[in-house]
Amino acid sequence: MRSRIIRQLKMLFSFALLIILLVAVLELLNWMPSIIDSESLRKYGSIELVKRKLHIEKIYMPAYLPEGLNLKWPPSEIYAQKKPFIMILMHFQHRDSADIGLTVYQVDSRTKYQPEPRIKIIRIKNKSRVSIKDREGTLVTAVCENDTPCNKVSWKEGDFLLTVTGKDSERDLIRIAGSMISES
Amino acid sequence: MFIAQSVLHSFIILIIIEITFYSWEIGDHLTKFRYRLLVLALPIFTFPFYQMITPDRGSMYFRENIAIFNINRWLAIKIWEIIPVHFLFFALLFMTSLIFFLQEILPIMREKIPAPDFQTITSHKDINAIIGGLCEKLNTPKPSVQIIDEVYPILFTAGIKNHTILLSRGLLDKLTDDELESALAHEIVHIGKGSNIKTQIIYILRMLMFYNPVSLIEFRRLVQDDEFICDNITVSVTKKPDALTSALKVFYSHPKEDKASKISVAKDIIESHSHNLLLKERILKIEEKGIGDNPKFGWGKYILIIIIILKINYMVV
Repeated sequence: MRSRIIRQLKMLFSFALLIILLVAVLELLNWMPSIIDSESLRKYGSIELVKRKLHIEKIYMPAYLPEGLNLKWPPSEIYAQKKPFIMILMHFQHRDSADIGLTVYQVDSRTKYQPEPRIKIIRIKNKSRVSIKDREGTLVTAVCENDTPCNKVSWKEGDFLLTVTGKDSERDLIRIAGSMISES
Repeated sequence: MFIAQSVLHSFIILIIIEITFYSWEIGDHLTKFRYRLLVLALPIFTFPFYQMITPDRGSMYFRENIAIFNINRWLAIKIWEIIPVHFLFFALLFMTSLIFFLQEILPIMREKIPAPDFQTITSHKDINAIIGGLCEKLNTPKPSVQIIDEVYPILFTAGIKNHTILLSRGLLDKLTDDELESALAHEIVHIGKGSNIKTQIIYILRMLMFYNPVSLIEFRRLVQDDEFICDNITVSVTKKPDALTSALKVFYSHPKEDKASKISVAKDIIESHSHNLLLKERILKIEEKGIGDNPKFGWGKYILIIIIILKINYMVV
C-alpha cells in the first residue's frame, strides 16, 4: 500500500515537473522572437528603453499633465514597435487607483492602423475641428466604458498621427496635446 | 486567428497527453484512445470558448501581459528579411489540407463503382455457428454475413445500426478454423464496441480540422488504438493469441507492380508499407502481451488533465 502511494507520488511529481518544463519552453519560445526581431511590438518599461532599443528619433510625450487630473508620471505602460511601422502607445494611470486616465499614441501616418487604447470609446457624441498650436486637429467628445465621459484629440505631426484620449475635460486634453509639440 | 490557435492548441494537447502517458506509465490502448480523442476534439471548441469568457483575449494587452506564448511574434518574423514565417506556416496547413483532400476526399468522390455482386451465404453452417457462439460470448447482436467472390483476403464490417460482416472467398480459403474464429471475433468486437459509428464521429472531427497536421496524425493513431483494443478483447475471448497473429499475417499486403505510372507504384509501396507496419505492430503487441487486461480508467486524472490543458491553452494565443 505504502509503496503504491510512493509510486503514485513519483508519477505525479514527474508529471508536474514535465508540465512546468512545457510552460517554461513556451515562455522561452515566446521570448526568442525578440532576439531575432527586436523591432516588432513589445512592452517596454520606460521611454528611454524605447529610444535605446528602437532608435526612434522623435517620441512625442506630454510635457504637461494638469495637477487636477491626478495622473502618475512616468507612463504606467508603454507598447512600441518599429516594424512594420512605428507605433508608440502610452497609458497614464491615476495616482490613487489603477485606473487609466490618459492614453497617448503616435502612429506612422502612412498606415491605417489605429491601436486600441485601454480607454475604449463606446459612443461618439460629437466631432469638431480644433487648433493645436496652429495644427488642425479633430476633437471627439464621447462616452467611454462605464458611461464615463471622455474625449479624444488627434492631429498630424510630421510623419505621425498623434492621438490623445482622456477622461478629463476638452480644455485639459487640448492643453496636454499642445504640450507634446515643441516650438523648435 | 482560429486556424493558427487551433493548430497550436492541438499541438500543446498532444504534448500534454504524451507527458501523461510517460509520467503515469499509461500503456493500455483504451485509456490512450480516450486521451487522444482530446487532441482531436478540444481544439475545435477551445478558441470560441476562450473568446466567450474573455472577449479581450486577442488584444495586444492580453498577448503581451498574460499570454505565455503569442504566435503572432513568430508569424511576424521574416527569414533573411525575405520569407515571412506566416507564409511557411500557412504553406504547411495548405499541404496538410491537400493531403487530406487527395487521401480522403478524392477517393470518396471517385468511389462511384457499382457495388460488387455479393454472394449471400446465410446457409454457411461453419461461419454462422462460429459467429453465433462469439456473439453469445460477447453479448452482441448477431450480424449478417456476406461473402465477396474475390481472391484477395478481405474482411470488414459495414453498417452502423445493422451490421454486416463482409469477407472474401480468398480469405476463407487461406484461414484455418481457429484463425477464422479469431478474425471474426475481432470484427464482432468492433460491432460490440460501436467502432463504425465512433470512427465516423472521429472522422467528422478530423474533417473539421482538415488543415491541421496534428489532427492528421492523431486520427490515424486513434484508428490504430481502436484496432489494438479490439485485438486485446478478441484474445481475451478466444484465448488463442497465436490464431489471431497468424490470421493477421494473411493481410500483409504486397504492392502490385503492373501499374502504368511510377507514381502510383510508389504510392502503393508507401501505403503497403504503412499498412504492413501497423499489422506488424499489432502482431508484436499480441505476442508480447498475450491476453492483456484493461486497467480501470481514472476519470479523476482525466478531468485533471483537461483542466490543465484548458488552463495552458488559454494563455496560448
